[in-house]
Amino acid sequence: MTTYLATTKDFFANIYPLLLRFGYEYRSVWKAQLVRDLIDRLLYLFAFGFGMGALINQMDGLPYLDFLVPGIAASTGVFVMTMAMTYGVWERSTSYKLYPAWLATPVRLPQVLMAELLYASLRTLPSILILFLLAGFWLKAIPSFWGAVLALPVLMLANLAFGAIAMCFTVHIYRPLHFAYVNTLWTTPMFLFSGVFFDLSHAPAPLYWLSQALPLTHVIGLVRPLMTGQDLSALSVLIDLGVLVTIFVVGYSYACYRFQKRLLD
Amino acid sequence: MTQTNVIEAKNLVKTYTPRGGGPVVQAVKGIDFVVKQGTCTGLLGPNGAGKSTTMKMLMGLTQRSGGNLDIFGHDAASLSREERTRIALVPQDDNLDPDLTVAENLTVYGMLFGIARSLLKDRVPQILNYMQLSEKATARVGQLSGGMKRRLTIGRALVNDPDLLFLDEPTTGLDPQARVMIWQRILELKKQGKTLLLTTHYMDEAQRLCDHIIMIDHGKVLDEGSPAELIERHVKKHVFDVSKPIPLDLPPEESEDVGDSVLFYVDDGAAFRKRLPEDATYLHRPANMEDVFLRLTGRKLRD
Repeated sequence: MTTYLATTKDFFANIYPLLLRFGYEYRSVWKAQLVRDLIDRLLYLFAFGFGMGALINQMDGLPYLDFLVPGIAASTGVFVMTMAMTYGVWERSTSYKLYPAWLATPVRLPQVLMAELLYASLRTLPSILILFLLAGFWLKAIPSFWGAVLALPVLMLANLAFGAIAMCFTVHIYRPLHFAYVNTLWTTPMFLFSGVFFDLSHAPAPLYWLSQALPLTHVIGLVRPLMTGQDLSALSVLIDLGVLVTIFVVGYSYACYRFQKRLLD
Repeated sequence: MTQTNVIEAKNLVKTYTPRGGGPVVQAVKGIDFVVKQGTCTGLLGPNGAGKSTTMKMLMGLTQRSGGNLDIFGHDAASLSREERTRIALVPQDDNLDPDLTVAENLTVYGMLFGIARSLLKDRVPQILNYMQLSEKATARVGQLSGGMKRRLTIGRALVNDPDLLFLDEPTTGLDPQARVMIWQRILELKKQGKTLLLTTHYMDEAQRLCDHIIMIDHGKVLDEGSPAELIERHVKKHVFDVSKPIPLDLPPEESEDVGDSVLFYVDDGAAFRKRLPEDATYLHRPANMEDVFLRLTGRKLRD
């Protein structure tokens, strides 16, 4: 365990080859991945934006499409990161046995998991950018251009947090069949109860507190005001960023610890 | 010349509790061995003997439960990055990257060992050529035959030019052509002064490649020595495989009934042959590692 965490320089020296590896993979699968990630988001945008949007003029003081776009953008990471850190990590660590292959080199597990998080996180960028372009220039549903630019690093941080949570599920799952629970009991409820589609601030107390406990709420709490030009207090920015950073650090550390134990036993 | 010990295992133990409960399994029950620099050492034993577990402990892929295990004079569980770059593994199952091409597999692996991408531009084609995979450089791993995958896995282990190489059943499941090719490569590596630790179920392979053989079973070392020493110690020089019915007046040599025939282990082959009736059906061969292996570990099936 003494060399478990290498020096910072070594740490990133080992991540770079793995990022290159993911880059090679992306080069051969980017079309399929981009189409899937993007169409997924656009379906919700169109179904709710035009369907519900025809019935609702305003939500939380905003035109419904303006309200919806940041939520849809923020939810991209939930789905992409969860898929990548459950099925994807399982495939590479257990089906293809790539983790044992990588760990037979100087690379260590925390670096492998960090590379997984970074790559999957970057992978969401193209679909988020296309979503922003469509929503901004075609639907005119992004009032603040610079807010949208600022939202991007927030969304990347959120991706790391969502990915770290999904990894924590993965280290406790021994049959891929059980990954379905992650969708049913985690991603779907979060997608529904984090204020993507409707404002939950006036919801009954249990629902309100449930929404407050879901990290996606805190991501939307940052990106929606940024992109729509709503007021954003410094305190709420600090709280929301703090929640995301804490989830990422704690989740990633726990996943590293448990995965190490699982692989080494 | 005294050879330094590249690997030293003392009272090495590995136990684990099966997931979901059950009694504690002792996979390795306190084994001692050394691997000397520049030699090819064979770790032989039936399935479940503890070979792969020992390999995994050496690679730091599983944690030992007790004893000492040193590589290059340092604890195997906490080698420096520098020391790790001098070791490579050919695992039992090909764990190549199916999302990458053949050449990309080697490039990424080389970079994981800290080799600059610019150096790999030359090194990767060299290795592909050496393993006779040049035409497959841009193919995906899924398009390779079993033999090609194995060659690529071995080539991948050479990308960092290691001083110490672990080969876990390098030729299992390969056709004779591929086996011979891989044997040549392994012998060349030995000539270059590399230290090799090999496991195999093919006794002809062990006899051909290994300077030193460690026989293990049930997590314990049964015996060790050069192939010739082991043969001399455990079996006699000649084996006569005599088909049944067995002639009645054969000398009382050491023998073993294997079903359709009986194996006779004898020191004086010529004398024994004279005693066989002219119409007896038999096969005469020198004793080999297979005889030693079966003698030491028994004929009962494992797994």
